[in-house]
Amino acid sequence: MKPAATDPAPRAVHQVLAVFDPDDAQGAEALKIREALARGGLASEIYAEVPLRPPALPLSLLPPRKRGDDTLVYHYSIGSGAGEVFRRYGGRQVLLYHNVTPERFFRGWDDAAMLECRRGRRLLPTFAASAWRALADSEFNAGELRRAGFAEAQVLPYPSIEEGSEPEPEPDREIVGRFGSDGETNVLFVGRMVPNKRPDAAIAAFARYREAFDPGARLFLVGETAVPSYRDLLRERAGDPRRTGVRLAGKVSPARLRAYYRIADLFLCLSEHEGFGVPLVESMRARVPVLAAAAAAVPETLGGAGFLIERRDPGFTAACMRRILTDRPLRERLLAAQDRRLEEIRAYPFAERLLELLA
Amino acid sequence: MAWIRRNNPEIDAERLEREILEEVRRRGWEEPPETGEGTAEGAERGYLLSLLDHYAEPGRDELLSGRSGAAGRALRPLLKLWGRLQRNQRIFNLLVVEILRSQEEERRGRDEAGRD
Repeated sequence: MKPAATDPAPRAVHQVLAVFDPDDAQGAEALKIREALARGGLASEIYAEVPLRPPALPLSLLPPRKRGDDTLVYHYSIGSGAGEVFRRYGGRQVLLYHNVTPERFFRGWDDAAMLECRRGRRLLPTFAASAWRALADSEFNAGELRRAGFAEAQVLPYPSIEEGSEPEPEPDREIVGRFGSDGETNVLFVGRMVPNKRPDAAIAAFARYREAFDPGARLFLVGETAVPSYRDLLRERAGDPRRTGVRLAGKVSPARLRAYYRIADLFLCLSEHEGFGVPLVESMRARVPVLAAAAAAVPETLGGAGFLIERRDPGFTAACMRRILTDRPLRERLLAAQDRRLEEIRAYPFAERLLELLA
Repeated sequence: MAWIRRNNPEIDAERLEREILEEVRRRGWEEPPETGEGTAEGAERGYLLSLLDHYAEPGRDELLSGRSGAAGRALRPLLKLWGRLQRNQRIFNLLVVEILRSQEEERRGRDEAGRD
């Protein structure tokens, strides 16, 4: 369609998603896309089935398409009402795939999540025929898209954390003061406390490490505990933090999150399923060495950096933790590789590539 | 199979692996590969049907609350009950759809096999 000569409306590239939370990876990416599109002169708003915070608007307010080249970007992570809106929109439909957690991880823990994930994966191929573009934030995710019938799926890497960001808050002083200066080891994991991310395995490995090597060490598990039965299991395994050193911090403010990265000596990620891995990038940015299980998109996110292990045995993991925390030259080499990987991520021209893909 | 992935050219993974495994053995920490929570099979129809029974009985509401997700957790009692019932209804609906779909797929599979 020939744009603009007779049509006064600027081209719109709106985004739809199930839940908008600017503090999670998907919400943060939607914001960065919105900023990049606005800089490119395109009208762009975010609409969500559950718009937790501004600037997202309720899905019902999505305006109808005015031009043939108006575009709707659908952040796909789970079956939701946003899918039906996307289907009906017409125009240029862009599916941006963030991955759907395999349902097996929720079996026995959260029936609703299990069924939503099952539905999300089942419905994915039904969007293949109408999608004008299919994008994924990692090659791992793009592979899943291709297998689901999106033959032309392309990778648009997750934007650098700094991409178009607003100023960040200072790290929370209370956390830094309380845990950052007593000389004890701080191990960190950040992510939603759900079965596929295996914080239970992190607790087991940490317990072995603390018992054998470092009785004053602490493990901070930072992130929402959204599945009650799994939260109960984690609480039971974590026990009394004064005795075990394990602290379930829950979902925290950006200032507190920065503080946890600031005090961390090691980032421990034993996740079995990640579509990308924003906390891994945040760790590299905070210059915290990463010890991670080599699963799903974790190796891709880390590139040639990080200390990747193929097994989650508590003993083996504990011995790796000990080595990274005590072998200074190893630690320096890990940090040097992470710095290089971070530079690669920073150098990627996300905004330009986005506009090119949507042109 | 390697225990440490050779992805990072900055580190001598082979030497580290040898030394770390030596320590693991010395401490008697050798363990069989773990299967872990959350690695069970996907939701086959028999399992879905067993859930359907649960969610079809309103009297089981309290029993179900521990495994029906986060909705309603922070709400006050009445809203909490309402939220839980709504959520259970949603789970029930999703289950029905998935079971019917799985039956349909099986029927289609049988028809195709019959044609072959």
